Amino acid sequence: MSFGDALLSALRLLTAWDPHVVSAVAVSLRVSLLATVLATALGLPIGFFLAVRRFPGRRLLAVGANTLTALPTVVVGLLTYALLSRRGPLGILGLLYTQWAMVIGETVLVTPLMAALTMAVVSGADPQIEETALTLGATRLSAAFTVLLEMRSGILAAIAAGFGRLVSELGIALMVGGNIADSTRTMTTAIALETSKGEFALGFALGLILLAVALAVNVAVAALAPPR
Amino acid sequence: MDTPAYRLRELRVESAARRALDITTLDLLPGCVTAIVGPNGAGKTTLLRVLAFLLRPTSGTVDFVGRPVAYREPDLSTLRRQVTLVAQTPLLFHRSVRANVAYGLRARRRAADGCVAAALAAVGIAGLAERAAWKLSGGEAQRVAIARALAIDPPVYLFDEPTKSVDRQHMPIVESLITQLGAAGKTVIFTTHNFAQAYRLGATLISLSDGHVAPFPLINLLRGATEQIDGHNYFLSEPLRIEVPDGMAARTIAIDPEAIIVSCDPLHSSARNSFAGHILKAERDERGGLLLTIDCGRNFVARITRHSYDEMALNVGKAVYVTFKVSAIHALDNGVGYGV
Repeated sequence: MSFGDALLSALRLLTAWDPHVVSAVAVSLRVSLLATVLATALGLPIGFFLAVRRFPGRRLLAVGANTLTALPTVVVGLLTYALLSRRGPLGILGLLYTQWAMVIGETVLVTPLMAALTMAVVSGADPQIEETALTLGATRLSAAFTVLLEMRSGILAAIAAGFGRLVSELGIALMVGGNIADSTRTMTTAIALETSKGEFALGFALGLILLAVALAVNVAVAALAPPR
Repeated sequence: MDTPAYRLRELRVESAARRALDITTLDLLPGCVTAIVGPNGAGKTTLLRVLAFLLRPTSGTVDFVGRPVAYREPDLSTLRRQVTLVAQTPLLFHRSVRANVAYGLRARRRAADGCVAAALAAVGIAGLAERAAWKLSGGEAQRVAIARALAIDPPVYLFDEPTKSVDRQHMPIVESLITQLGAAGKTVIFTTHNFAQAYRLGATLISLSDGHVAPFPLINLLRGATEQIDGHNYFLSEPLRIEVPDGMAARTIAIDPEAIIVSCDPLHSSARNSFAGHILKAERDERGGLLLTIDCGRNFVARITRHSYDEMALNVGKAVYVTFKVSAIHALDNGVGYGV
């Protein structure tokens, strides 16, 4: 099967509006977007704190955050499984094999990345931004928000990177989602399934669709970037 | 006697490399314009940052309007709102000019529109309100930063080299603004390396050099060496030979411009130093004085009254004599860089 054939397959799937494909796209987007938002909500303040405050153990934490960005998805998947399975501490919540389990796992995966990237962006910020905000009467918290706003192109890039990591990951979605059709089947788990059945063309087509979706999200994010 | 706006005692600010500020005692008066003069690296910006409560001194005390400053939040936030600092190279936020000027008002939860419009008009940039701040020239940016300060109108204004980036055409606007603020009873402290500007705008002049406050204005600085000739002490700085107090040994001297007498004819007096020269420049200040720059082989800056200038019919190019006593000369410490 040539690239051209795969491309045609992909287009056919898209225009046919195959319900299974649509469902997989919807699950991917819902889970990954939500996890990105949660990971940003957690990771951004941590990263900001690490960038601006001096405290004992800071360097260790910073190195830790950077190291955790290399967490394999399968490892996170396993940990989340252990946490959510019926024999695990949060087993009573019955979240295993649901979209929520995937959201939890993906949030854990990418929070260190958001923290590390935010730390890098804020460390690179001109210290005069905060000083100017303070001398104009902003509180420390207000000034912090001003710094983030001024560095928004870097922060947006970090968010885009986080989303990219999540929408393309397989390990967590598979392990704690279970790849249940129309429920926890994402684009990536669908690709895994089809290629394991030997349906390489279909797998490839789904891959192209995933890229198209990621492109759409990034274009939307780019629209938020500050004008030059 | 007014409570000083700021009272600094034993103030030391040390950075990684060196001691940026070392001020034993300094009182800054409220409700008037104070000029802080000094060369680059003197510590002017550091001092302003301390006064703006943006920088905590390594040691020493700062009293603001009679109350000692406690370096902790939320007290610092309250203090910072009494003062605003306009930096040498101001940073404008990545938004419109209007949004920049309104920033301080928003931070204080005050209505913006009227104050913003008035502030923009005061610096002559009313037409730039909707422009993107990052598209401005250096001079326009500096005026936006000044407008930001005017909009919040705190009791204390700090300006770091306020006319540095401003183009010649707009310098008078900025300078008259400083004068107006002082006249309105605001405490204005600005730094400059231009003595003429300092005299022109400042009611009080403070000289800063290498982190220290100099007890005399660092003006008429001459480099050379002292030498004993015929039992008297002289300072030799080609082509001049200046008689200095006995026992003075210095590489650099400063001569008080207020203590220099300018005359049309040679002056025979008890003053030991008298030189012939001609007037190069005459600059007015707001307090009825004139700064004359006189070339006697080396340039001397003398401050005389407008009245004298007119009465003696002085003008640029005229041949005059410059006379000053030995007591008008100050020695600068050997080896300590005074930025000469």
